[in-house]
Amino acid sequence: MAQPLAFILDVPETPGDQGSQEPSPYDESEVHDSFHQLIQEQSQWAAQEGLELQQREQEATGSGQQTLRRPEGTQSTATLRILASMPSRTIGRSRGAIISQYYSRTVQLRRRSSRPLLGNFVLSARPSLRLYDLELDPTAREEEGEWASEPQSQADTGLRWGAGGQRGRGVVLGWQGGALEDGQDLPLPLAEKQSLLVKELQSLAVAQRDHMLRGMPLSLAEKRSLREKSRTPRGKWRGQQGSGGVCSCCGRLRYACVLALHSLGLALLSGLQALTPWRYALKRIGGQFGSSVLSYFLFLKTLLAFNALLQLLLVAFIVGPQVAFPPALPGPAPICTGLELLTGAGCFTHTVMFYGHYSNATLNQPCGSPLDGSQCTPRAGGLPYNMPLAYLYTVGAGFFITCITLVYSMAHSFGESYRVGSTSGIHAITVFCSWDYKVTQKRASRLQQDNIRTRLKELLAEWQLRQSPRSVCGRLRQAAALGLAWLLCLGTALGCAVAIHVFSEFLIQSPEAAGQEAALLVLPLVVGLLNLGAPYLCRVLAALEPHDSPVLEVYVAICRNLILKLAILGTLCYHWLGRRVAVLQDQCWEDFVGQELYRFLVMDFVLMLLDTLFGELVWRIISEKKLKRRRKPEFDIARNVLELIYGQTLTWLGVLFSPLLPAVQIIKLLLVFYVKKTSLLANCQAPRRPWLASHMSTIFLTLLCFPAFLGAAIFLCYAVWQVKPSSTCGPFRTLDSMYEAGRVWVRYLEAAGPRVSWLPWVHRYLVENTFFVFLVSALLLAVIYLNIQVVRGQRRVICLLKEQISNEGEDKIFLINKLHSIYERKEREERSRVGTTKETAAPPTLLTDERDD
Amino acid sequence: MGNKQTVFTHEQLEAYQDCTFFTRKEIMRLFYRYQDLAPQLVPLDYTTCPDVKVPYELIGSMPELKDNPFRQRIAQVFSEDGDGHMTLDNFLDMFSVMSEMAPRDLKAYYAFKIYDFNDDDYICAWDLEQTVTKLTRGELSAEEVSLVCEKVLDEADGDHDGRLSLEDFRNMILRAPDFLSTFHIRI
Repeated sequence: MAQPLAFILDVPETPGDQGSQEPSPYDESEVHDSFHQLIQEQSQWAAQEGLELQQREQEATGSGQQTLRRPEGTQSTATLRILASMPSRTIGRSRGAIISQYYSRTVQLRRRSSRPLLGNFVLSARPSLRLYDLELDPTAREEEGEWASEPQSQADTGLRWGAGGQRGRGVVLGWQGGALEDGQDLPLPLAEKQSLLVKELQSLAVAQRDHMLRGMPLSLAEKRSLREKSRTPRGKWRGQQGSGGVCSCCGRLRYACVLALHSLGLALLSGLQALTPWRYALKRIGGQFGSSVLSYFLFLKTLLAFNALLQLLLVAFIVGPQVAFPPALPGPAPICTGLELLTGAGCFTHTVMFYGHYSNATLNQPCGSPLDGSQCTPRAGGLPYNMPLAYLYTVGAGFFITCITLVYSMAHSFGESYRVGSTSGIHAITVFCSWDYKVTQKRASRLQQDNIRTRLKELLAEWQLRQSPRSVCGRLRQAAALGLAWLLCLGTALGCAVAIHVFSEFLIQSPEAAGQEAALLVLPLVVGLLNLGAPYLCRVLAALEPHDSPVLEVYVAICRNLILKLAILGTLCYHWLGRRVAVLQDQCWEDFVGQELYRFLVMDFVLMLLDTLFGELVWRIISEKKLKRRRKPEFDIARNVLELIYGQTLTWLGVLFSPLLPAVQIIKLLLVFYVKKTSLLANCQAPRRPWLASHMSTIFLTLLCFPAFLGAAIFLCYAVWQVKPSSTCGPFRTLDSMYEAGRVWVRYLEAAGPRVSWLPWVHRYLVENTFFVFLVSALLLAVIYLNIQVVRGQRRVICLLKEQISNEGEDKIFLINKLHSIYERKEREERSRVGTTKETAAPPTLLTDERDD
Repeated sequence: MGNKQTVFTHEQLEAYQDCTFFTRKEIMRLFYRYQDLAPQLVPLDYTTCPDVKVPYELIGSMPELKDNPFRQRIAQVFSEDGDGHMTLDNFLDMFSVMSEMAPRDLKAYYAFKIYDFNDDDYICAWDLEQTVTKLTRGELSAEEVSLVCEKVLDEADGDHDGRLSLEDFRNMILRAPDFLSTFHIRI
C-alpha cells in the first residue's frame, strides 16, 4: 500500500482551488495517465482474487462499445452520486452558468480570436478536446469547474482515494461534500459574473448587445435588469460629455443620426410586418392542418412576391412609358364581347397587354429620329427613351433579378434543411421535433397525435423489417411492378406530348377553324384536360405499386408529374417557336404566342376551379352522404404545388410577349389562395402521411428554379437570339433578331463621340468577348469548389469531434465501472471482515460515518 | 382599449422591445391577449409594474395552448416559480421564445426544459417515456414505448451516458430542419 503515495504529487489539495488555477493540458494528461496507472495497479492487486480477470474477459467478449453496467439496486449510492455530479458536456444549466457562458461569448465577439488550427486535432490524443475547450472558451470551462466539478477534481479524488488506501471511501464522500458546498455558495460568484457580463455588454455595439440580450435564455425580468445596468453608464457618459461640452458636437450628431436611423428602421420593420398579408388565415391553416399544408400556401405567397417584383419592373420601364406616349392606333378599336377575357384576342390585341402594341422608336422625341440616345444618359430637354432597348433590357434585368432571388432563397433553404454533417437520427427527431406547436384545434391535435403514432409504428416496423430482409422472389416482383408503373407513366407522358403535337399540327393545317374566336380555346382546353387527367392516372398507378417508404412515394409522384408537364410544355414551345413563326409570317406571331400563353393561364385557372369544385367539394359530399364515410378527401400537396409551378412557368414563358402577364398571374394567385383556402377549410383534411415541411419547401423552390425557371430562360434566350421578330409590329420590327437592338445601340454610341466611348468598349470586351464569360464562369466554379471543400472539411472535423465525445463518454463509463467494481470488492472484503468479527452494518451509513474519522 | 401610452410608459415599451423579439404593436396585442385572460385580475395600467399573476388554469385555456399535450410543461418552464402561474413578463417571454424570430439555440434550450419532465437537467429514459406517451395519447404499448426510447437514446446520446444532456439535445436539433418551423406559435 505504499506505492500509491507517489500519485499524490502534483494534485492540488482542495477542489475549490481548481477554478482559479487553470491546469495545463500536459498536467491533465499526466493526471489522466497516473489515474489509469492507479486503476491498473488496483486491478492487479485485485486480480489475485480472480475477480478482475473475469470482468476483463467479459469486456473482451462484449462488443467494442462499453455500456454502463447497471445492475439495478446493486450500484451503491456513492457511485450513483459520483455519476450525478460528473461533469457533463452540459454548459448553461443554471442561471449563473448561462450568464458566464454569455460573458465568454461577448468576450469572443470582441476579441474574435482565431480558432486553433484544425490540424491540432489528433485522434489519439483525447485530452486535446479539453484543450480545445480550454482555448476557445476559458470562462465556460472555469464556470463548469465551479458549478459542476472539475474533471481533474474527479481524478484528484481518485488519486487521493488511492493514496488513502483502505480508508479511501471517506475521502470520496468528503469530496462530494465539497462539491455540494460548491453548488451552494454559487450566488456570490453569480453577482460577480453578472457585473462582468454587464461590462462586456457595454463594450459591444448597441445592435449586437440587443441581439445578444434577446437570445439569452434568461427570464424577461433578468434581461431587463441586465439591459438597465448595461445602459446607464452610457447615459452617464453622454451626460458627462454634455457638461464637458468640449468634445466635438459632430460625434453627438452622429449618435443622434444613428439613433434616428435605428428608430426609423424599427418603424419601417413594424410597418412591413403590419403589411404581411393573411396573417390570420395562415395561422388558421397552420393550426388546423399543420406545417405541411401551410408550406403550400407559403409557397404561393413566395410566387406572388416573385411576380410582384417582376411586374413592378415591367410596369415602371415598359408599360408606363408606353402608356404615357401612346402611338397612333392603326384603326378603330374592335368591340369587346366578353369572350376576349378568355381568349385574350380581339379588343385586347392592340393594347399594352401584348408585344405588338409597343413602338419601335424613341418615345418622347417628336422629331422621331430612330434610336436616338439611350435610356440612361439624360440630355438637355428631357430623357430620350429608346423603347426597344428598354424592352430588351428590362425583361433581361427582370429575369436576372428573379434568378438571383431564386438561387439565393434556394441556397438559404438548402442550408436550413440539410445541415452540415447531418446523419440519421430519425427516431429522436420524430419524438422531439415533430409536434407542431402551431396546432390550435382539438381535432387537428388528435390527428397529429395519430400521425405521430403511426409514424413511430412505421419506423419500428421498418427497423424490424431491416432485421429480416425480404426474399429474392419478393424483391423481383417489386422491381417488376416498379418498372411497369414507370413504363406506363413515361408512356402516358409521351402519349400526351404526341397527342398535343398532332392536334396542334391539325390546327395549323385547317385555317378555317382558326378564324373563329372560340376555336382558339380548343388547344388550351385539350392541354388543360390532359394536365388534369394524367396525374390522376399516375396516382392510380402509384396506388398499385409497393413502396418501402412514404417519402419515396411522394418524391416518385412529384417526379412523374414533373416529367409529364415538361413533356407537354416542351411540345408547346416547339409548336410556338418552330411552327407558328413560320406559319404566321405576315402577321404578328409574338402577339399570337402571348395570347396563347394568356389563354393557357386562364384555362389553367378555370380547370383548377372545376377540379377544386368536383375533386374536393363534390367528392366530400358523395363520400359523406352516400358512402357514409367519416373521412374527407386529403389535400394533395404535391399535385397542387406542381400546378402552381406550371402556372408560373407559363407566366415566365410569356413575359416577353405579354408584359402584363405577371399581373394576370398575380390576380390568378390571389383568387387561388382564397378558393383553395375556403375549399381546404370546408372539404379537406390534412394528409395522413407526415411531411417534412422544410424539405418540401426546399424541393418546391428547387423545382421552381431548375426545370421551370431554367426552361423559361432558355426559351426566351432562343427567342431573343435566334428567332426573327415579325416585321409588322412590336419594338423590334426592323431588326433581324431582338438582340440586334443592343448591338445597334452600341454602334450608335460609338458614332456619338468619345464621351461615352467606354460603353461600347464595355460591350465589346465584356459582353461579346467570350474570354470574359470564361473567366467569370471559371471564377464561379472555383468559388463553388472551395465551398465544397470547406464543407467537406467541416464534416470531417464534426466526425472527429463526435468520435472524441463518444470516446470521452466511454472513458467516463470505463472509469465509473472500474471505480464501482473496486469499490464493490472493497465492500465485500469489509463485509467479510466484519462478518468474521460478527458485526453488521449497512454499507451506506457505514460510509458516512467513516467520513468523520 | 385606449391609448397605448396609458398601459406602458415609453421606457417600458422600449425595454420590452429590446428584450423580446416583438415589435411595439405585437407587444400591445400580447398584452391585450393577456388582459383578456383575466380582465378582473389584470389592470389596464402597467406603468407601476403591478405584481399580478394569471393562474395556470387560465393560461392553459388559451386556444394556442389548449390542445397542446405539453401545455403544462410549457407553463411550468416559463413561470417564475415553476407552478405555471404567469406574470406578464413570463407571458411575453414565452411567446417571444415561441416566435418566428427566436434563434435556434434559444428555442432548443427551452424545448429541452420542456421535455425534461423531472427538472434534473437531463432527459432520461423516464422523461422520454413521458414525452412519447403524451405525443401518442398513450396508445402505444409499453414495449413499443420502451423500444422507441431505446432507439432515441441510441441515436442522440453522443457521450453514451444513457441520458441526453443539453448538448446532446442541441446536436440532435441541428439535424432537424423542421424544428424551427414546428416549435413556433403564431400570435
